Amino acid sequence: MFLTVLIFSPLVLALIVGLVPKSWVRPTALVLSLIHFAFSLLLFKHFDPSTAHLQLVERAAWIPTLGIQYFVGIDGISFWLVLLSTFLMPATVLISWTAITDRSRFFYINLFLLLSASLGTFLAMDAILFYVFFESSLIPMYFLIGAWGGPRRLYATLKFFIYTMSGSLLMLLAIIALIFMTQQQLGTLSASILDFYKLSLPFVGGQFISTQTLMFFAFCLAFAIKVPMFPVHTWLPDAHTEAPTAGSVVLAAVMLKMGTYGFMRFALPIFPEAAHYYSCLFMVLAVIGIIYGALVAMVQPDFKRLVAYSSVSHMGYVMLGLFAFNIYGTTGGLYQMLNHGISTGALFILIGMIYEKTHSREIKSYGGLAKRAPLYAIGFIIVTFSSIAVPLTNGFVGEFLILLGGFQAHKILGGFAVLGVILGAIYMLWMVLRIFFGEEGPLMVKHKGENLDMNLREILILIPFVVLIFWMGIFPNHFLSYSKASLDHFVNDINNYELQIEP
Amino acid sequence: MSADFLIGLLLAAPLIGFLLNGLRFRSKNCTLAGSIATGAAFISFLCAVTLFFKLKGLPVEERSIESVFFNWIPVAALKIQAGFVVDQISAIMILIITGVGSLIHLFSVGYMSHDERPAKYFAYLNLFLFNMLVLVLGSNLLMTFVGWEGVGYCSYFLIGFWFTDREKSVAGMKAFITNRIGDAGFLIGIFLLFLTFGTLDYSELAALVPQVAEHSWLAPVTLACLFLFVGATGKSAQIPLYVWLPDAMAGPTPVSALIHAATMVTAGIYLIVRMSALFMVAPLVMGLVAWIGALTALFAATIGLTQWDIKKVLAYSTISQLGYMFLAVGVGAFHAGMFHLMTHAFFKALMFLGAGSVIHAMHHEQDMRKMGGLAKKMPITYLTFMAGWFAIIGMPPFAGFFSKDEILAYAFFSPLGSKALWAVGLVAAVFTAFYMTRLMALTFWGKARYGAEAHPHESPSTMTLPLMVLGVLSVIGGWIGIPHVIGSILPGHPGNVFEHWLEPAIHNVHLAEAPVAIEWGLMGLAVALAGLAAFMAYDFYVVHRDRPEKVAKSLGPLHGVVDNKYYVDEGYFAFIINPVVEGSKALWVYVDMNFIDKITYWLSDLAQGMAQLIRTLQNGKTQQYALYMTLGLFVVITYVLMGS
Amino acid sequence: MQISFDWVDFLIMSPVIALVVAGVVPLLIKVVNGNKESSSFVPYGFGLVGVFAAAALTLGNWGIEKAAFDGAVAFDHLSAIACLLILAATAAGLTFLRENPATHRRQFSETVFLMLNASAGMIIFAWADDLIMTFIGLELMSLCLYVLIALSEEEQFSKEASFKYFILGSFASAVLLYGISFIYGSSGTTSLVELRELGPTLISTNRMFLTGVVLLFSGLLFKIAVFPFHAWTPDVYQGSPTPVTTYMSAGVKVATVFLILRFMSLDTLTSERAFPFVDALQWLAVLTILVGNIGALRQKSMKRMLAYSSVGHSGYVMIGLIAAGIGGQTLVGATGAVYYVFSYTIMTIGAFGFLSLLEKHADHEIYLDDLKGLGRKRPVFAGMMAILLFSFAGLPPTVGFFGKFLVLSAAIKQGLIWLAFWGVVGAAISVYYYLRPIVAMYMEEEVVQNSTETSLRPISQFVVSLAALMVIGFGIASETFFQTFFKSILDLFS
Repeated sequence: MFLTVLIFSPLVLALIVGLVPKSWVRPTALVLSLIHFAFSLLLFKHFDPSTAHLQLVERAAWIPTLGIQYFVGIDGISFWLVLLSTFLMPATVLISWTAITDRSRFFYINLFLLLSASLGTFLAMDAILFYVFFESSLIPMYFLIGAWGGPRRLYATLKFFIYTMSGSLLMLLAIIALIFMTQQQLGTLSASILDFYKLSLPFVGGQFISTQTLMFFAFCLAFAIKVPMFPVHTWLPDAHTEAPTAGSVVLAAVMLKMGTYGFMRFALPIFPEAAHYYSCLFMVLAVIGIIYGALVAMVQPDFKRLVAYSSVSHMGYVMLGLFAFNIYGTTGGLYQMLNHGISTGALFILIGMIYEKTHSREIKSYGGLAKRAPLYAIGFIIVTFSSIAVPLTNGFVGEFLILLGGFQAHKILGGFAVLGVILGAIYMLWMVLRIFFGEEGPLMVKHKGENLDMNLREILILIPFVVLIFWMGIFPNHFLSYSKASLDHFVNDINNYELQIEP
Repeated sequence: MSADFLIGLLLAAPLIGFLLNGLRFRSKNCTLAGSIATGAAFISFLCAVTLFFKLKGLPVEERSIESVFFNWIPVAALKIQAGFVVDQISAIMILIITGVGSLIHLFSVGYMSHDERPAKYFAYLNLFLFNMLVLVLGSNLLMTFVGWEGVGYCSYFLIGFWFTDREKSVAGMKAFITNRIGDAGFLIGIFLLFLTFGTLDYSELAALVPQVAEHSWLAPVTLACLFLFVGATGKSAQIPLYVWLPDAMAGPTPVSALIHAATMVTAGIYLIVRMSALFMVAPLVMGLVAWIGALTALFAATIGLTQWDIKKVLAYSTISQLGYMFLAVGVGAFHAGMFHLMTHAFFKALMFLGAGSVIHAMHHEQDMRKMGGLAKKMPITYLTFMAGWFAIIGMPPFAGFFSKDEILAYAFFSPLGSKALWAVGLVAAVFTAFYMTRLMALTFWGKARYGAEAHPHESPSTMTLPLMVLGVLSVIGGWIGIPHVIGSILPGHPGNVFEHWLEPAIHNVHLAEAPVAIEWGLMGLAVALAGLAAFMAYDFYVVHRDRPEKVAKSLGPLHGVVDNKYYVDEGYFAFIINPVVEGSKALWVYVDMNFIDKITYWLSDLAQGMAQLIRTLQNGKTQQYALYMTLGLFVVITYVLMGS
Repeated sequence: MQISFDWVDFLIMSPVIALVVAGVVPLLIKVVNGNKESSSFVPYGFGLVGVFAAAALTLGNWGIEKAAFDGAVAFDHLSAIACLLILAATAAGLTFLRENPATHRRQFSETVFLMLNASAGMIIFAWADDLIMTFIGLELMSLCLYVLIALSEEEQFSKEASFKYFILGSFASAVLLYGISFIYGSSGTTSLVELRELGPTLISTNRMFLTGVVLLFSGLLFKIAVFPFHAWTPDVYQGSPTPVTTYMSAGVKVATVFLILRFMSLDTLTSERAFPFVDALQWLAVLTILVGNIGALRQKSMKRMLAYSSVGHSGYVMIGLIAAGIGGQTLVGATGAVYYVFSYTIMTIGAFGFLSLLEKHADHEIYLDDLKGLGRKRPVFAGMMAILLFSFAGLPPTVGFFGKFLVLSAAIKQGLIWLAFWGVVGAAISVYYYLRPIVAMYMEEEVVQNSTETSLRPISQFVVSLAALMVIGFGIASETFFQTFFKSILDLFS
């Protein structure tokens, strides 16, 4: 019952938010999200990290005629992603506290719907159920960007929606095909991912028009767009730049993970041969993503856009790790998903804070902010360090493992990926330099005498992020130990991957 | 007290100091902040001393105290522990770091007294100390890397300490990024080693080295050493990554003394000494190290000849001296490298602090052309500086003499060395003697060239005390490493204590017994030439003050090149940085906007175009609709009847 | 020949009878009152009574399987479902008619009469087990519709639409009749039961029969607006009063699809002589999807946009029908087709009802820009439309999604991968124009204080909200419907 409640309670919460009096909307949303987060922490009690089995499983027939069932479960791969989603919810509510005044009720409802959809995506163990959540998560995000976004929001939101949706439609076809294959091979029609793992799909190396390859790429397209990987990343900068802060945070921290998670849950284990055969292609794309994202980020005039491109770079690391097909890469990949959620999420939050005060995201109009907002500067630099993977911050652990794994898988590509370490430092520190240091820029002059530093609410938002940054950096094992079993299983048995259900 | 506790305290003290000062970074109370930080540093120093004697107490073969705090990154075979080890190498390092560190902390109390953010400054200083200690104590490469990057960002903060000055912040960023380039190399080195040996733990690595040959690990090991050396060049400001160090002088002078002279920049040497076992099996890399070192020594020394900013001179001198150390380790004289590292820490810190004292007295004037004749005004600074000067130009019996002589001797005799290397080192030494004397002359001798408004005065005791301590050390510091040839004629035959201490921890090259006469000859030659150069400089800048111009003219363009630091920075901008930035802009505009997005636009345009077509076909004329139907019907029927 | 029938046949036909009677009564009352209508409520009431009576009777007959009146009409579960869907469309249509400014005053008794008869025609059309009955049903339906369309306060477009529909419709009927004659000529029968025996052999031996089949199909495809017989749709849908549009777009499609399904069950298309025809059908399906969805891209008028979208949806239904027709594991395809029209009926009622609710006066046509700012002014109401549109676009967990899902599954199961592929492409395109109204409602501020304030139309609003809820509810609970449809198809295809 636990997971079901976890997934669907946000719908109820959304309803409550929809019914309370106008003035209560914000506090209610905050309290409810905190309660939901607290509730999600019970996972620590229910979850058994010692096994790779699927746990807390709940399954019920949903559409038996097509073998579709309501089937949710959790393992080490989804564990932290679930907690990440619930953890971010209160932060997103708080960051919108003063930023969203127009139609705030509808705004928070959307946030809750999005939360529900993301949790469903991470916990669904039935392909169609997954698809349902995966797709329906687009709708609230579509509203968040479209209704509360910046000047070019309509363009951005439409681009986002169509890009991602058209990607996932081909995946739907592949899923359907898989469902019918279960009937042929296993006798019973089933959309359960666990049954998909059991399928033996004919694979012909080098021949593109062959069952497994086609399906693999159908899945990959959907997820690669979501991640996003080069060269299908162009929706991201627009979406991020136009989205309201909360939107950017959830988009970066949770929705992008749906893509990488999809790779881990579907693309790699269901189509191992194809994945191995084409791993080099994906590693190349990942490395291009790392370097390309970093280079383009470097020259962005708008610092929200800069961070958006940095996401492309960071997610490139994750993909590199996953396609390295070794324990280091995979572990690092999973860890980097969380890191990116924390650090990039925090970056967007920080950007939102300052934007709310100065209403400008143009880097060159800043300068000398550190003098005006020392606390903010400290927070920003800490998060920056996490994002450029300075040791003892979370970012380092993930990046180190990924690069190690990537290097083990392919020396040359690994070597190129290491360039990302340099470029990352360059674009982030250059931004920090232009925003915080030097003489006071025009904006500082324009806002003379105003307090640009963080207020108590903003400090409260940031603290958990900073704590996590160091905690995850200094004691990664506290986190990795929950995923270890699953990851070992994932790496060692990738070629005939199966998930048992915890008895 | 248990070793774990000592090591813990050693590390914790500066960290706590950092937190105490960091949490109240707004405070303007310099004395309080200073005493907290200095106290912390001093506690660490005490721990270091205790540990040193603990170690000394142990029998030679088990001189290694390790303490593991927790498992940091345990993933499969990768078992990275937060472990720290005190052995002969790190013991020396922590003594230098905490000792010199405490003195510089103390000095800063006076130096930063007028600054508006002293607490912040001391917080950073303590944080640096912590990271530096992690660097040298780390029991595996990754822990070292933690400190490695840690000292990197601390120097970033301290160089850009006065961040409202854009130049200084830029210098900080430059330092960080240049270091990052090195760090990237370091990382690759780590990967190679781990994938080859399956461990990153120093002791295990050293244990595995003998198997290199039988497993034909030579190639990866050589590569690994190469990349580790890349890391070292970044951190220790060697060609080609030295460019950040001169700019780093933008930071407060004590910072230059601590980070950019005594400790951080020597991390590269420490790394190679630490990995001496590996480097010894990679002679190719050793050769590279030696030559890079020698050339850097010479190259930086020549630039030093023409600088006017007192700190810039010292900066280039530091680069040059670091070059010596690399020359030393490159020819397999790891102990000599460490030795010079130590003596250099003494006299270079001394000179930086002295310069700081001067700058402090001159109200932050750094141009030597506006100084002169300060000897009388600030005697203590002058005398101590003098000690440093003798040390660096290698006058016996000052500290520098012994270490430099050791290096040159090994460069000459070592199988890994060569006459050429020795010659380069010697020339560099001559140049060093020249520009250091020039610095002395311009700053302390001759007549005053500063305006009436400046009233140079001796600095407060908090600043002079460290100067005096370091002054003494620069005199006697070298006596623990007296080479055998000298020791043999001295009363009591003092041996090379330093070398014996390090012996078990490093894999030194073994020299064939060298003929004593040659050794004396080389030594004498070096000293004589240095003395000559020093006299020349004195003559140029005190007696005949018009000669430098003449010489500069006679040298013509060459002088201009040197004067402009060989246009290296300009070159980097023209050939690397600007192209990359422009290229990235191009990527953004042409690939992202005008290619990938364009494709999507084309698709939508296509759809829109077809939509328009459909609209035009849908013109409301019933007959036309009927026509479509008839045509459609006709086509279908013909198709069906043809087909079947 | 001797026609024999008993009371069960009447029982089976009772829904139709009920409709006709209920349709005549208001007319009689009006005549008695000296050709005056006291209020539109009376005829409306009678209409609803008729519809619900018919529905009740249909449900009462649920489970009967019999070819009534000597195989004139066949009654089975499928027929019942068809009947119920048509009745739903009728009820909704009636409601909107009464509350729509363009239609609520004008001769409402006649309107009701025509509408109920049209429904009767549709039902017969859907039930027909004999090609003659098919034609009768078709004509009864069409003739009533021609007039219904014209019955509007709006003086220009409705008349034009009616006229166009009449001309093209007659043309189509002619083609259909021609096809029937070919079939009769080659097989000597018009009864589907007998064709079930003859068809498979005839189609491969007799080109005349094949031609007849093609012609017959063309006539039917016209009714569900399949390319290239779709051209009338945008004009007629736009021109007719919105309630009528609702009614016809749902009702006619339902009736025709069920008839085609019945025809598909004859296995006539399974022999390889018919493969070219199947190919042709596939091409038509693909083109229909593309033309429909692309055509809708640049429409400003909501009705016109939905008209094009309905063309697109016919394409998806076609996929299901083809999958059902080419033998093998047909059942998924058939179920898909049925579920698709089922979902389409609900969505259409909702969407057009929404537009009808926004119309302020007879000549008022809703354009995209009229929706601007609606989300701010009437969040719930706009939310309904948003749900409906997302369902049209096929986003989970709505009926629209499961409709597409089933149809695509069928295609893939039958190995019609490329058909499925184009279906997906169409869906991707459709997203764009289905999102535009939502953009207008939620993300754009209204430029001028436009008149989306609707007068009180409780019943219509109730219907629309009901549709919106069904879209989600039936989507999540689609299993029950799958089962029902599946079973009912089982006894048709076995």
